[in-house]
Amino acid sequence: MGFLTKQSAVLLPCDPGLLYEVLTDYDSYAEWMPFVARSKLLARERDLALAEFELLHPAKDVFVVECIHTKNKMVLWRAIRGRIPLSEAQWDIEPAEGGQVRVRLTFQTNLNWGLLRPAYSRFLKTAPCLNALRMQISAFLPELAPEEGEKILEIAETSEGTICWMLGKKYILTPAP
Amino acid sequence: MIKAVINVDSPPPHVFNVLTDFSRYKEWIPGCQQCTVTSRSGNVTDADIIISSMKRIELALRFEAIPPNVLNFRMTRGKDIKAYSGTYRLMNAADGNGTVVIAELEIDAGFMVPKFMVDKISRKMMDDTGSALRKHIATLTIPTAIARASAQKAPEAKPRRARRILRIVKMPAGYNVWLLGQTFTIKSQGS
Repeated sequence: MGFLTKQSAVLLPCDPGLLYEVLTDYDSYAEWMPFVARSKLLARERDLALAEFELLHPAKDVFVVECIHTKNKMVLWRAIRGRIPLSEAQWDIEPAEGGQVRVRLTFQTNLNWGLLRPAYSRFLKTAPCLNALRMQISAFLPELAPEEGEKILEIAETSEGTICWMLGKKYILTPAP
Repeated sequence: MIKAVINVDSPPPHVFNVLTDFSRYKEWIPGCQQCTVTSRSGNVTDADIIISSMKRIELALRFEAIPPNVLNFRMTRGKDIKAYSGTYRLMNAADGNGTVVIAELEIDAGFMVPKFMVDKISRKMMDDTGSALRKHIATLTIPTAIARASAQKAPEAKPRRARRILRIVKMPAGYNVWLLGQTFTIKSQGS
């Protein structure tokens, strides 16, 4: 079987540790990765993990990947189960100039009819994934927001729960019953 | 090499016990007509197996258990296929409920059978074996010691970094709105 390789890279203003943490947080991919409806860590043991992803389209389409981690350097997925023609996905993290990191995403896809399905070909684009990753990373970087103004409102998820700062006062939000 | 993931609603030590209880394979493995243990030495067990699915296959397998979570097997004798090997690797489910089994299977049926066909058959065998394992384990009672030990293991709470969702900053010329990674500028009227 043949393979098709797609690759993109982006510079991000964060430390490799944060990037690695986001990329190995398999319960949270649905928050940021395009066309992912649900994601779940199935199991983790040292540098190996198993994760399950459900796509938005086609609905209920699930695939499972085994994930091999090299801390702060690389996250490699190998597809084990699912119809999506993804063979491997590799996220390479390397330090770049100015305290930034360069993250390179490579998709290796199986050359089969599945690639002709619009839902799969949309998902298997590297540049939109990296753009979404950039936005997700910025959510953990308070310094990206302008500091010269007056903060009116901020909502954040923290270990305390969902916190709201409004006009200098802090509120802890609780879900409605 | 074909891989499969099997979720089993039972703790890993119990699943490991079931997978290493070779003499009971014919009770639950689809198509297994016979599994006779011929020798046992430490964690290495030899067994003669007859599997009848698309065709009847007789082979001798050597199982090498690496307690508490790995079981390797490979064909040591057989006329019907050239090679047969694989692994079961057991991991604690991340949500604390049961076991995730990674199963690997490699079959070499010789040059007469195309690889895509062997892979398709292997995939089906593994899916069927996974379903059968789940069903078989559901009929068994988990030994008290294993149940007690696994009940004490709660999944570790995962510390999370603070994640900003929304931020609105009043600027001299208007408002700067940051929402889920995107920044919007709202200019005041007349500015």
